[in-house]
Amino acid sequence: MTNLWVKGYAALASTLFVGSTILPAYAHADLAETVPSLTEALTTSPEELRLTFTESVEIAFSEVSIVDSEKTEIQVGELSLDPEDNKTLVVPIEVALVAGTYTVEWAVVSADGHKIEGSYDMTIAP
Amino acid sequence: MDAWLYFFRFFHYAAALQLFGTAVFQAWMAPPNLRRAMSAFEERVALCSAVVLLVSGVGWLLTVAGSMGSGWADTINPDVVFRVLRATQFGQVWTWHLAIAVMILPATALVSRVRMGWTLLAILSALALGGLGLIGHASALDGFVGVLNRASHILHALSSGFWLGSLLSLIYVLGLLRSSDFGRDADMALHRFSGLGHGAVAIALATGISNSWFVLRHAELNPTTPYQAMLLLKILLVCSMLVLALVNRYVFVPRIPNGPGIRQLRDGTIAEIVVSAAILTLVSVLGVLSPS
Repeated sequence: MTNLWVKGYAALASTLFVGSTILPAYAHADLAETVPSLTEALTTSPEELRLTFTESVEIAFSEVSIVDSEKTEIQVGELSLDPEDNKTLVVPIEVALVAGTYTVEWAVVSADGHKIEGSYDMTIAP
Repeated sequence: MDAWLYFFRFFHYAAALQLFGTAVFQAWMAPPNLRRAMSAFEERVALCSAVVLLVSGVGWLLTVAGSMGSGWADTINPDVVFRVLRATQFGQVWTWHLAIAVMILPATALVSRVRMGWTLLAILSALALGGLGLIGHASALDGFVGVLNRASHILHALSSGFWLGSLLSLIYVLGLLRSSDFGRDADMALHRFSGLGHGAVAIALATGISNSWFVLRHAELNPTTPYQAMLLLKILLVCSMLVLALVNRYVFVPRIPNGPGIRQLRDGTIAEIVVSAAILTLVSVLGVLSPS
C-alpha cells in the first residue's frame, strides 16, 4: 500500500512541476494612484508625475516614459522615490508639455522582486 | 524564464532544507557513536546539498536579473546582475545568502575533522535557510507587520527544514536499530527526533497559517486563481504529511520492538519524503505567483 502512495505522490509531484511551468506569472503590485490623477482635467503642464503603487518599488529597475500622440518621447528627469513613501515614484518633467494627449508608460520591479508594467493616458487641454 | 525560476527555486529550497535537517540531526539528535557511524553517509548528503545550494543560488540570481532586466540577455549582463545585488531588496539579502552558501562548502568538507563541525554547519545552514524567509512575498510588507511577516516566514522555513530535512537521516538510522553496536543510540536518536518533531510540526503548521494570512489578507478569496488553488493543494498535501507523520509515530513506532515496525516506518518515511517533494514543487511556484 505504501508503494502505491509513493508512486501516486511521485506522479503528482511530476505533474505539478510540468504543469506549473506553463502557468502565467501574475503581477503582484499594481498602480494604485497617480498625481495628476487619471480623471483630472489638466489645463497646464505638470512639473512632475507621482505614481503610487500598492507595494514599495525598486528604483534601480523602475522606468517611466512619456510619449505624445506622434509617438515622440518627452524628456523626463531622473526618477526618485518619495523619501516619505517608498511606494511612490516621482518623475520630474523637464520640458513644458503643450496641449495634447500623452501616454505614460511605466515598468517597475516591486519589493517582492517581480516586474510589472502598464500605461495610462493624460490629456492637457487649456 | 519563469520555468527556470521555478526550477532553481525548487532545487535551492530542497538543498537548504536537506542541509539544515542533516546538520541538525548529526549535531543534536545523534549520540557521538551513532554520529561517527553515520558520518560518511551524512557528509556525502551535506556536500551534495551544499553544491546544489550554491549552483541553484547563482542560477536563481541570474534568472532574477533577466526577469528584472530585459530578458535572457540580462541574465549574463554583469551590469544588471550587479545592479540587482547592489540596489534591490532581493539583492541585498542574496549577497549575504550566497556568501553563506560559499562558506558552507568548506564547512561540509570539515564537519568530521573539526570539533563542533556539525554544529557550525547547522548554524550556517540555518542562516541560509532562514534567509529564504526574507525575500519574495515575505518582503512585500513594510513596518511592524513586515517584521512579523518575515519572522513567520523564517520560522516556517526552519521548522519545515527540521521536519523534512531530517527524514533521510531517519531512514538511515532505522537501518541501524537492530545493530548490536548502534541499536541503543539509534533508538535514542529516533526518540529525540520524535520529541522535537512534535514541536517542529506545530510551529510549521502555525507559521504556515500565519504566512497565508499575511499574503492573502487583502486579496479576494477565489480558489480558482492559480495561487489560491495551488495553496489549497499545498494545504491538502500538508494534511496528508501530518497523517503520515502521526501514523509513523503512533502506529508504526510501537510495532518496532517485535513486529514489522521498522519496515513500515521506513516505507512511511519514504512516503513523507515524496509528499514533501510535491509540497516543495508547489512552494517553488507559489512564491512567483500573485496571490489574487
